[in-house]
Amino acid sequence: MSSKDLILQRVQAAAPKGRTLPVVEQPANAAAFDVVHKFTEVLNAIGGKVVLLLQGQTVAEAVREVYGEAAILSVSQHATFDTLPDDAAANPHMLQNIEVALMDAQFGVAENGAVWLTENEYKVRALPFICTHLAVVLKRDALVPYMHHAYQRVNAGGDYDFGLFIAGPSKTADIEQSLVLGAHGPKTMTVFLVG
Amino acid sequence: MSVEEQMIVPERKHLPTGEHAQLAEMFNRDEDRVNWHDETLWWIRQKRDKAAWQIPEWEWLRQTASGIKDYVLDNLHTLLQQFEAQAIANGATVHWAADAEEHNRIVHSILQQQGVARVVKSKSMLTEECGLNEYLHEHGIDVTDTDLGERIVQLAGEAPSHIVLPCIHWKKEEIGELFHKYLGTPEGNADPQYLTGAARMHLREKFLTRKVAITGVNFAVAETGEFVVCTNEGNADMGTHLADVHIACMGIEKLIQKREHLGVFLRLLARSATGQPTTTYNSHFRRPGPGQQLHIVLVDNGRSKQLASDDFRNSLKCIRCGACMNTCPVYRRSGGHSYHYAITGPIGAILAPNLDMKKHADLPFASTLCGSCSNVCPVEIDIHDQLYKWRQVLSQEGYAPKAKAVAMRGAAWVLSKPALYKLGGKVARLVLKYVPWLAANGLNPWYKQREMPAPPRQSFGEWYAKNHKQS
Repeated sequence: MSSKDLILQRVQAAAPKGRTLPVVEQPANAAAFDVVHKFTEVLNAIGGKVVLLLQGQTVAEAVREVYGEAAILSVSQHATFDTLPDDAAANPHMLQNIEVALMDAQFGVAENGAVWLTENEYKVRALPFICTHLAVVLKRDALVPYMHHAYQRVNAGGDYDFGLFIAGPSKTADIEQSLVLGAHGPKTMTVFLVG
Repeated sequence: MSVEEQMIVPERKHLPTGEHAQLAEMFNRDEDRVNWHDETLWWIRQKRDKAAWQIPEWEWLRQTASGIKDYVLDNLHTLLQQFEAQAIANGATVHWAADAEEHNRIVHSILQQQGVARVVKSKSMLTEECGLNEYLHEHGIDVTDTDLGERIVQLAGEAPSHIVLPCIHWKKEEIGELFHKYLGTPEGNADPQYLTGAARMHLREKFLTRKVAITGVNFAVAETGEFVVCTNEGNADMGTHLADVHIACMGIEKLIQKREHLGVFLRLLARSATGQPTTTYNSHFRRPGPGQQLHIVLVDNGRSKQLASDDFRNSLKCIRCGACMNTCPVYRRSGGHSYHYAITGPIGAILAPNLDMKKHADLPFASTLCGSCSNVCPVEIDIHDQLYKWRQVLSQEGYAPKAKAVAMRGAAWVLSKPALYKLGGKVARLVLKYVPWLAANGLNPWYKQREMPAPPRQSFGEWYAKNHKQS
């Protein structure tokens, strides 16, 4: 008998039956809050940064102001900078010296400061990890309060090969619980709130 | 030759041998270190509390998570097949491993097919459980653990001592020395920021050169065939997205039915683990990247046996957050290595005896049964009840620690004879009063680190008989 059949046979014989799936409906006692305020507060607390665009300011201007003279690679629909090299998808290793990568998030989650991105938008899976500084454009009206709403958005957002929540810069506290930003991935993460 | 090439990573020392109490005693010889370890973990437990208390519906989250897992355990047969079909449709290759040995063989055979002798691996407690590192080392494969804490213990030739915080027992000065030896950092530098920077450079070279990346799995979704890997460092993603082949190893209990259920579990996981609102990266792997291969290894290794047990089934709900360790007064003061098993602490003490009752018979006794573990568990596992149940099973099967078994038989004999019990009590009171050294000596573990109260002049029985007559 194959291991697959063996395992399936064992779990079928072992499992009790009949417990039903709970309905995931967040109770009424959940805290209500202003999503922009909450998102900003939480992302700041976990080492990220939120930049609100000034009146009349373009995304490109706001991004340039934050990163100064640094080289910026953009896969965002909101600002034009350096573009992704043609063979980056086949050879992402070539992105190892990217300073700033700018990309669009589908939506953000206020309760934990996370943004949802899929490979469809940002093209090369490794990009938000291999860059030194991560810049994300997020529409103000694309903030949801909780993760339960977030998955409604994920499901409504269509198919993806790879998708992820990112909340802040790469970090570690493995050495005596001292928090260090920039473990393997970006050392900073800045979200540009637009709209 | 670069420092890199000169570096020889030591072979993993075997997990310490001996019973929990003995190993804990060794750990306790350095009182300052024990206090530091205890305080650090309690601080993390307090961060967890702060995070949980901010959420009024926390108990609803725990109940719902537990209920979802109940459903998964009842329907694992169907959900596993659904997951496999979806994953294959997504372009992944699915492997089934009945035990640890088969799991290791499958992973090794994929590496052989690729002609690869060096891999990167992100944190996976399943591969620790299966002894994958040791197995691959024996077969000439160089494994680089890429989680910083895991890399530290790997360089030290040790196993992780905590499932979330692998080197929680290491001080920064010691890590500085270790990095001086292996990564060429300046002697005496123990600055966490600096050492993390050195590790970043050291590991980036590995990410850029390895063709195969191994990861664990936090959650796998039956309806979509995708799985989620959670890290703070981004090491799982750096490894997999820069490799040609991704091997994801998961226990069969990691399944959930629907994607929306992730909303419940991801709210609980990081808050329970470290008090963070979420892990930095929650990566959803659905299809292999362009030109990449994706292998998923589904592992039983005793899980179906645990599933068949009414008493111990609940332990399969575990999402490996480590909250039960951080809160456990025994874990905090005995250290992870005293559990001599890949999964340490209270949850490990339930899981380990299922795999080898004889070898891990001591672990369910490494608890005060205070119940704190059950109270913090995000999926409501009745951990302390299961520890108590394991003690009964182990005693019935003849695996209880010998001294305890003899003492219990003695106690049962005395307690069944009231006259003897009364006499014994009288003698004990006289002994404690006039010749206390007969009881209070090094041979009696009850006197270790304790001062005993003065013995009462009379027993409760005597007191009651006297006072009852007077009234």
